[in-house]
This record gives sequence, structure tokens and C-alpha cells, in this order.
Amino acid sequence: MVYDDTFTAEFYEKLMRNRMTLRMRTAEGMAGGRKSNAKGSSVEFSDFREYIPGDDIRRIDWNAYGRFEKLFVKLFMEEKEGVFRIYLDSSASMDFGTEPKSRHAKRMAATYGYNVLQNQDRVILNVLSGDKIVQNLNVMGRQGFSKLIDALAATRYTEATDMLAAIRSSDIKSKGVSIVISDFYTNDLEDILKYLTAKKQEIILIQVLTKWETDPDMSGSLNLVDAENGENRRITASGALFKSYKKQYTAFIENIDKLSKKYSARLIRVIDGV
Amino acid sequence: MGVTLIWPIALSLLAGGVIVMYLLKQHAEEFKVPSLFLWTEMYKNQTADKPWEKLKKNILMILEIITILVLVVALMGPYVKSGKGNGSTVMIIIDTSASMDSNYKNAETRLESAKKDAEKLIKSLPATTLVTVITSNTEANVVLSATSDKLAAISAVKGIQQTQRSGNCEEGVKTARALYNAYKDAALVVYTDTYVSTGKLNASIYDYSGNINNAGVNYVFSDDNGDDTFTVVAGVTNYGKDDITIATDLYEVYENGEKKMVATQDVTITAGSTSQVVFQDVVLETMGLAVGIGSNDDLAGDNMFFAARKVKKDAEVLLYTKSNNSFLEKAIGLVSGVTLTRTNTADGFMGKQDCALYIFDCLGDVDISSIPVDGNIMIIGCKTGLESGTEENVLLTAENSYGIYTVAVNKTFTYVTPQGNESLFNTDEGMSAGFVGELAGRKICVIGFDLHQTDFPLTINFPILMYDLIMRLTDTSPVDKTDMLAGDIVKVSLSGLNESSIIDPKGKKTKVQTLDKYSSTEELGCYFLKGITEDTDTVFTVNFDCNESNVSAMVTDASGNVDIKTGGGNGILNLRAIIIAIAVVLLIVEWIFYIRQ
Repeated sequence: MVYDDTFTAEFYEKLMRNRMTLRMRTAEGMAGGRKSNAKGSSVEFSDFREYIPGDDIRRIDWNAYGRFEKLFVKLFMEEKEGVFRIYLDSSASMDFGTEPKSRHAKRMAATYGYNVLQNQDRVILNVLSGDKIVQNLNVMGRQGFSKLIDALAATRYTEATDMLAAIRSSDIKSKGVSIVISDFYTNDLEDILKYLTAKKQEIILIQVLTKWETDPDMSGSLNLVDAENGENRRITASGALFKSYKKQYTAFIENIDKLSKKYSARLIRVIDGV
Repeated sequence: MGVTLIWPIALSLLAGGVIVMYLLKQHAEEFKVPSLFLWTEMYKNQTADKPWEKLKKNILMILEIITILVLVVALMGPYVKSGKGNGSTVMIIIDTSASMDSNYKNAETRLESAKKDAEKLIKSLPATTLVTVITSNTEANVVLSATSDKLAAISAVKGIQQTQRSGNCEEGVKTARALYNAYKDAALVVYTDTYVSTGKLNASIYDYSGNINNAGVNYVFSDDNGDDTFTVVAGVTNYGKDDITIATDLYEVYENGEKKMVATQDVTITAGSTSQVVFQDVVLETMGLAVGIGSNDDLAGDNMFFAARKVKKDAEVLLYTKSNNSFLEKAIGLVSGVTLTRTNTADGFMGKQDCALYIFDCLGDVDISSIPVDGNIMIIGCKTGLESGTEENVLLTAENSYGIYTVAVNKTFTYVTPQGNESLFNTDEGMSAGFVGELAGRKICVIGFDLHQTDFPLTINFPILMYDLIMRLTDTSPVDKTDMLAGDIVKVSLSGLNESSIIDPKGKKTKVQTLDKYSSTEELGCYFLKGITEDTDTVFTVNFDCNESNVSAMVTDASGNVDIKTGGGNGILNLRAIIIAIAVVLLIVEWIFYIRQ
């Protein structure tokens, strides 16, 4: 298990203490620990139905045949695994703040991963960088958590990310839950949501921001440098500038809220870890 | 509002230098942000993409530019004028009379101070303003007419010379008034120590009057004691506030202007009074004399008074009459120093010569060309060929330097008063019934009526008039006046000489002919007119006008469209100090901003 600034003992303690249940609907995928809407071959009885040719004759309930003189087959619960895809934005913009957004993003990913793995579900960690997925970790079972933590700890936040292109590059073949962790400084959010929805994903958006981004504090003539692409803009800090920024920020947040509702995505906004 | 100097405006370019320096200096601190995503839209309005926009919010640079501009304005010497020296045309009148030679402020005379103020005014005028410069004393002189060339105007003002003349700015204002209406928007600025009415003219008067410590010699006359000695009497006035004791000196004045002290007396004069100083039995070798006081006071011009030595000499008068005229004879007899000889025959008349005055009374026709040429002439009730007509039973009006009264006569010849002569009696039709003056190089008096045909001899005005006329006509001096003020014109009547010369107090000799008018009388002192012999040499003097000795407080009449201001102040509020104070405040504000940043 990795212990560093992100994954501290305190973090692990909290993680163990607090469990959360992630609801999802599954009907396909590999057999797993999650009850499925589909009927399957588990030992847990679900229902009866009349025999139709082709059914496994081993599942005919002979006692029922004795009483009703009709062939019934026993239906059992199908246990499927849940597939949780975590898309972690590793753009440089995430590495901002006195306590960087990346730390909160990793912790969120680890928390979700831990809970998913506890439920015997599958976690696929996709670390997005540039226009592709730079790390793809597919783990299941409790032993997978250690791998997940290792992968998260090794994640570096360096360049700009084209989230849409990167997410599209992931090969989504089954229904599942897609958790996208980012600051969402992109104009492609709607396209991302469209894509994931089309791939029959339940979507959880985790927006990670810092307090500074909601209420910037600076003074004088400054050359603002974009952490991702090095672009710069000269500004002179003033009340009017901050007012204008706040207006822009509010519009940005409202747009994400609106898109979340539109595509039935759950939105969790984390500001400075809260 | 105006400025003294224009050239400092070029220094405004320094502001451009500051901007360039700031552009070069622009090095904003780098500030890393997670993304410029949110700033993008905002940049359209808030970022400074263009170089000059980068300067938009730089308060320090703005303050520095403002400070530079304020200092440039301060260098330009801005001021606010409260006087009326505003207009498209400004007429400057400067009083150059003798009183303006009084000490004023800062070891300057009133005129020097006035000239400086006028120069300041000219500098302060807009470039398009037309400036006219006029000097004024007993007469006005347009030194410079309606020029926008400020340097020429300043040069003209600098070139104005102090005179010893009387007068004030009245003549200047008259001249300005004549020019005034020619301009649409004219203003008059008068620099003087004596109030002058400017009427409705848009005018400012700068007042240089004030109390001065001054003493002066008011008059000097000499009396021939008949024993080659003279008595000289001088009046010395103390115009100051304190009693003074000063030395009063008597000088002989020579032709080259040199003076030799003959006698001296100390005299104590109480404040505001005049003391008479008498030099008894002094021997005077020269025809010119002067009395001076050793006073180092505020006005030097009146410290010496010049006079001609008066030599007792009887004048002979020949009266040629065909009728008894005892009123006339008695009137002439009242004049001291006159010997009257009467004849009623042509023989008695023709034998006489060297008379100062020949009087022709009631002789019918008189041929002026046949009468003696060596003296002056008075013609009473005779036909001379000068008449233009006759009038009967008329009431004549006398209104001249000899008095104001009326005379009723039965019959009189009437004349057109010759040019340069003075009418003694006027008819209702504006003709003259007698005149006095000069004709053909001799003094002449013509009275058009017989004294028997009027009640005039019975009035008190008759002997007074006759006394004055005899005094005038028996004066054989070749000049019409011997005691003059600076700038006066003297008429020369040379008897028996075609040409002579006048030597002024500086020893400059000027040739004159009879009937010439000699006007080079600016210099105070004795002027010597050379005659045929030393006996016929004549001295006339030019003295300081005692009215100019004590020009103190200006008396105004509060009428008219005029501002009266104290000289030296010039009605100009200099804004330089205020603007420099503003610049200092700006620097302090800039320093505060700098510290805060």
C-alpha cells in the first residue's frame, strides 16, 4: 500500500470507516458479486416459469410437476459484476492549488475504487492525458485496490488533455458506470456526456476545483500563464476584472449543472476537498 | 489667463519618454493559473493586447506624466490677469512726464517700473494681439502702431526715454481715443502716476504715484543792483514729511553747460513749505545762472532751477498821434522802465530810431512798409491795408490771455487774425477787431478802433491791457519767451540778423534763422542765443515744472469703465508657485502609490 501526501494513513482510516453503496443497473457483463436484473445461474432462487424446449432439463422442478402436472423450471438470480470506469483527468491544470486539485481527484478516484472493489465489482481506471488514455488499469477484488492505489500514486499531471478524444479512445463495450474526475475546463463536456450516454453508461461527474478558482485573489499587473499549454495573458488586477471573472465562473458552473441534468449525470463538485 | 513663455511646451515630449520607458519597463510578474479557459471571454474586454492599452491602468506612469505636464505648465509661467489688458488690440500708454522720474520701488524710477510692467503685459498677450505703444507728456507720441510682433513691442517699450516735460497721460488717451474706434475689441492700459479720465474706453490704469521725499527749487529771479552786482532770489520747497536743512547754491552757467558756484547758503525748510533764499550783492559774470540744492532726494530733476541774468535797461517808446490821447499816454506811463516820446508830426517821427516800440494812433492811413524796421509796432485806429472790413456800433468780446470782458465801440476795422497771432477783440461775426503777435519778423499789435470812439479807456481793463501789451511789445528779446518748460517751442525773431545760433546746455550749437521755431528744448538748463555782439546775446532757460515735483496720491473720479491698479503688481496673479505645489502633491501621491504597490 502506498503512503504519500495523497494517500495518508488518515485517508485510509477514513476510507475503511465509511462505506458507500453504489447503485447501478447491470444486465450484462461477466459474472460477479452484484445481483443482476437478469436470471442467472446463482444459487439464489428467483422465480418459476413454464418449461420451454431448450431449457436446461436439470432445472426442471420435479416437485412442481408432481403437483401441477406441468413442467416448470426454477429461475435463479444472475449475479453480474458491476463495471466502473474511472476517467481521471491528468492535465496540468489539475495540479493547481496549495493543496492541489490532483490530490483530491486521486482521493476521490481511490474512494470510489475502494467501494467498488468492496462490492466485488470491476474498476477500470483510465488516466487521460493528451488525446489518449495513458494508463489503463482493470482490477477486481479487494486485492485490486492495492494496484489501483499504486496506479493513482504514479499518475503525473503534465500536459493538456483533450478529454473527449481520450474518452472516445477507451473501448466501452458494456454497460456500466463512468466516473469522470476533472475540473472540466473544456468545451467538449456535452459531447463527452453524449458519448458516455450512448455507450449506456451511468455517469458520475466529479468536478474538482480550488477556492482560488471560485474567488481569485491577486493584484497588480500580472502575466497569467496557463498551466497546461503555457499560453499567457497580461492582466491588471482590478475590481472590474474580478467582477467579470466571477460572472464568467458562474456561467461556467451553471452550464455544467445544466448539462448534468440534461444527461442525467450525477454531479459532485469538490472545492478544496470539500 | 495666459503664459509668459511658450518654449517649455516642448518639454512635454518628456511625457512621451516616460511612456516609452514604461513600455520598455513593462515586465509583469508571471502568475500560474490552472487554465486560461475562464479568462478567455473576459480577455476580450479586460486584457491589454495593444502596447498603449498596457499602460491603461498604470497609475504610477499616469501620475508621472501628469507631474511632468504640470511642471511644464509651471515653467511656462501661467498667470491670471485681473486687469482689462485683454482684447484683440491693446494700447499701452506710458507717462514719460518728469514726475515719472521719481524713485518708486527697488531702486527703480516710476517709469522704469512702468516699463517693466508693460513688458510683462506684452509678453502675456496672445500672439495675435495687436499692440500699440504711446508715450505721453505734454504731447503724445505713437512709438509703435498696432503690431503683433511682441519683440518689437517690448523693444519699443524698452526704448522709451524719461523726459523732463510736464503733463500726464491726457494727450496719450486723446490719441488712443482717436485710434480706439478703429479696432473692434480694444483695451487701453495706462501706466502713469496721475489719474486720467478714460471715459467709456475699456481701460486699466496702473498707478505709480506715492509719497516721496523731495525738495525742489521753484523759482529764481535776479535783480540788477545797478552797481555790477545782483540780487538773486530763489524759492525752495520741501515736499517731504520731515523738516530739512539743505545747502542752496548759486551758480554761474556757461555756454558749454559748465557751472561755477558763486555763493551758498544753508536753509531750513519745514515739511510742506517753501523758503525764500536771497543771495545779496553777488557778482555774476555769465548771463545764465542757476540755483541748486544739495539734496539726495527721490526726484533729481527739480533740484536746480535756471534763470537768465536780468540787466536793467530802459525801453524807449515813440507815440505818433494826431490827436490828444491822454488815456493812452497815462496807461503807458504806468509801465516802469519805459520812456515815452510823443510826436504829432511826421518829421518828429522820421528822426527817431532805436525805439523799442513805435505806436501809431489815429493817423488815418499807415503804410507799414515805410515805418522804421528796428522796433516793434502798435497801430491804433489806423488803416493799414490789413483790414477785411468795418463794423459800426458793435459790442466786442475780449476773451484771451489778457482778460475776459466786453467793449462797446462806434466803429472799428475788422481783421482776419493772421496765423500765429492772438485776437484781442472779437465781433459777433467771428471777425477780429484787434490782434497781437508777429508780422514780418517783428512784434505787432493792431487795434481796429479809435480809442476816442469807445468807453474802453474808462474801464479798469484798459490800463491792464495796455500794460501787458507794452510789456510784450517793448521786450526786444529775440525769443518770444525766456523761461520755458521742457518741450516748449521758442520762436526766434532776429532783428538785423539773418542767421544766428543757439547753444543748448550740452554745448550743442544749432543754427537758426529769424522766424524759426526752436524745439530742441528737452534738456533742462540755459540756452544761449548769439546776437551780433555780446550785448545782444540772449539767454532763455528750460526748467523743471514744479507741478511735477510732488505727484503723490492719485486722485480718481471713479467714473468710466476703468480699473485702477497699483503699479508693480500689474494685476497679474502668477500661478507658477501654485502649480509647483500641485506637482509636489502629485509626487507625494505617486510615492504613496509606489509604497503601497
